[in-house]
Amino acid sequence: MRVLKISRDQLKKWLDELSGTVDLYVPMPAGKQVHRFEPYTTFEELDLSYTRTVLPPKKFVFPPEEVLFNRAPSGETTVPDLPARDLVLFGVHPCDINGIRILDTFFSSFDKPDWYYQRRRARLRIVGLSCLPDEHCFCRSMDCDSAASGFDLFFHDIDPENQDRGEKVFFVSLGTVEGDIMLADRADTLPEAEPEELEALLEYTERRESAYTLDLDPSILPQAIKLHQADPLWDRLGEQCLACGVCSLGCPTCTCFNIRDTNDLEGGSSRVRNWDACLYRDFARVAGDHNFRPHRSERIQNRYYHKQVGFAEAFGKPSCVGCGRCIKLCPTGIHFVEVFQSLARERLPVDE
Amino acid sequence: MNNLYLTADWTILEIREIIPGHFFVSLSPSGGGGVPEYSPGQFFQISVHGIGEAPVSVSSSPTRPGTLEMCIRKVGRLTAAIAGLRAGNRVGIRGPFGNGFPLERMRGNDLVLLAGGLGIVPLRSLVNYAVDLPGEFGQVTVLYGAGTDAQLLFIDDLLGLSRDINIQLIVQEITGAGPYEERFGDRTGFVTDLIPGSVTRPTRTFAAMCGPPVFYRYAVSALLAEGLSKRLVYMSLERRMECGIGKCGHCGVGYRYTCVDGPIFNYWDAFNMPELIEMREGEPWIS
Repeated sequence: MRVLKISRDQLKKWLDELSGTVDLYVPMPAGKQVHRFEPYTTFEELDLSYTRTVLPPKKFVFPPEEVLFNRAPSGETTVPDLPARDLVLFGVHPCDINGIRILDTFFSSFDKPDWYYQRRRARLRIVGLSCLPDEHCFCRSMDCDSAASGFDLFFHDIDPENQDRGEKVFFVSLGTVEGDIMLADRADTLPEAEPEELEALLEYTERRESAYTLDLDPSILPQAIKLHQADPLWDRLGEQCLACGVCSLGCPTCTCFNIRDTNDLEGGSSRVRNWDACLYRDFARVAGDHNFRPHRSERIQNRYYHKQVGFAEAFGKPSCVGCGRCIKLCPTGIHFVEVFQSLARERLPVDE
Repeated sequence: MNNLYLTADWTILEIREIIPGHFFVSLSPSGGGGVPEYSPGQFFQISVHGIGEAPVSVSSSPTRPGTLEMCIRKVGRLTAAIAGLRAGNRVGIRGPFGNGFPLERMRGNDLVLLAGGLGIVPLRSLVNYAVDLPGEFGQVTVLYGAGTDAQLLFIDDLLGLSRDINIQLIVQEITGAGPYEERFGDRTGFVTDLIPGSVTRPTRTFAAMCGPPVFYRYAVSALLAEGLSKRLVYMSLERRMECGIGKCGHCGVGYRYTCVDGPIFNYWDAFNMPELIEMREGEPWIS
C-alpha cells in the first residue's frame, strides 16, 4: 500500500483554496451530536470526527425535491440548469461512499438511466474520510466498512481524538485522476508515508475493527426473510411502526420518489419529484382505490424484503450499507439488526 | 443520454365516451413523425400538464399504424381532465414502456384471452394484432366478462370479429343494454365460468389475461384445470407505474419492477413473487 501524507495546515490551506473554485460541502455540527453537510466556511468550523450526518449525501445527487421541467403557457418546456461549478463533498465516510456506488448502479439500470441523477453525479467529486464506529454502526456486517473505490481522494485520520496538534498528519489515498486534479499539483510534492507510519495506520484499522458493537451475519438475511414471511414478528413491527418513513428518508440507498405537477399563477406548470417512502399508506395505491399493501406490517416487511432480498437479486448486493441511520432515527426504536437477529434465532431449534 | 422524463406533445384526434365514465381516445404526435414502435401489452404515460401523469395501456395494434388508441376510465383528477378534452387538444406522451406480450413465442399457437372489466383494453391490442396477421396464430378465443352488459367495452368491435375469432361474453347482471342478450341469452356469471371446455390444445395454447386484482388467482386455477401448461400462462398486471423506467419504486414487487420487467408476467414470475397477484390469506398457491 502506498499513501501520501498531508499536514493539518496543508489540508486547511487546500480546502480554503478549493472552496474558491468549487461548491465545497463539509460535515458541520448542527446541534447536540447532530451533523449536516454544509457549505464550507472556515476550517475551524468543520468537524472531522463526526460519526454520521442526519441525511446521507444522496441529497446532493438525488435531492428531496427536484423540478424535472417547467412548462410555460405557450407549451415551451425548459429543464432547470445546475450550477456550473463542480460540487466537492469533503469528509464522506466509507458507508456513504458505498451508498453512492449503489445509487450509481441503480440510477443507470435497465438501460434507462435517470438523466437528472446522472447530470448531478457528473459534477460530484467525493473526498472520503475515515471514522470510528458508534453503537449504531453495522457497516462491517454489510461489507461496507471500507471503500475500495468510489472516491476521488480519501483521508485517513488515525488520531481523531486529537484535532488541534500542529504536527497532526493525515494520510491521503488517490482514488482517481480527478483527485489529483483537485489537489492542484500538490500530490507531486506530498511525501509518502514511512513503513512505521503505515504500521500505525494498520493499528488504527485494527482498533476500528474491534470498536464495532453491532454484528450480524449478512448471509442469513435473504433466507431469514424468505422463510419467515408469515412470522408474527411482522405484525408486531406493524404495530410498532408509525409509518413515518424516516428510515427511508435517512437511508443512503432509498430512492423512491413521487412525481407530481404544480401550477403557477401565470398559467405555467412544473413537474416535480419528491422523495417518497414505501412505508407510507398510499405508496402502492392505484387508480380505483385498490391498495396492494394496505397494512403497515406488509409495508415494513416489503421494505426489509426489498433492501435485503429483492435489490440483491436484481443488482448483486443488498441496498443497505450499515450506516445505522434507520436505527438512530426510528422514533419507536425499531432496530434493523435486532429484527434480523430475531428472525435468525427463530430458525434454531426451540430447545436452544 | 436521453431525458426519459420529458414528454412529447400529441394531439387528440378523437375522444368519445363509449360507455358511461369510459373514454376512447385516439392520438398521434403533434409534430408528425409517426407513432413510435410499440407492441401489444405495453403502456404509455399520458400527461395533462399542470394536473399530472398516469400510465395507460394501449388498446390499438401496431398493425394499424398512424394512431395510438387508449381507453381511459374516469377515476381521478387526471382522468377527469382527460375526459374534458376535445379533438384537437394536446396531451403529453412518453413511451412506450414495459415488455409487452411474448409475440414470438405465441406465434403458431392458439390464444385464449381472458378479460375482466377494463382488462379488455390491453387485450384488444393483442386481438387486433392476431386478426391482422392471418395464419400467424391458431384459434383465437376471447373470454370477456363484466359486471353488467352495460359495462362491456368495445362490444360491437369485438362481435364484428366473430368470423375470425371465438368470442364468449358473460356478465353478472343483465340490464338489457346492447347486443348481449340476443347473442348470449340470459346466461350470467363470472368470466372464469367460460373457461371449462375453451382450451382444445392445452400444450399449444397461450393464455393472456387482464382484470381486477381479485381475478387472477381464479382465472389461473381454472386454466390450469383445463390442462394448460403453466409456462403458457401470462398476465398483464397493474401497479402504480409513475416513472416507467424502473426508478421511482412504486411498481416494485419482489426483485422486479412492473414497468420494466412487466406488466406482462408469466405464471412462474408470479409463483416466485407471491405478492404479485392477490391471494386470500392462508390460501395455498395455485398449482
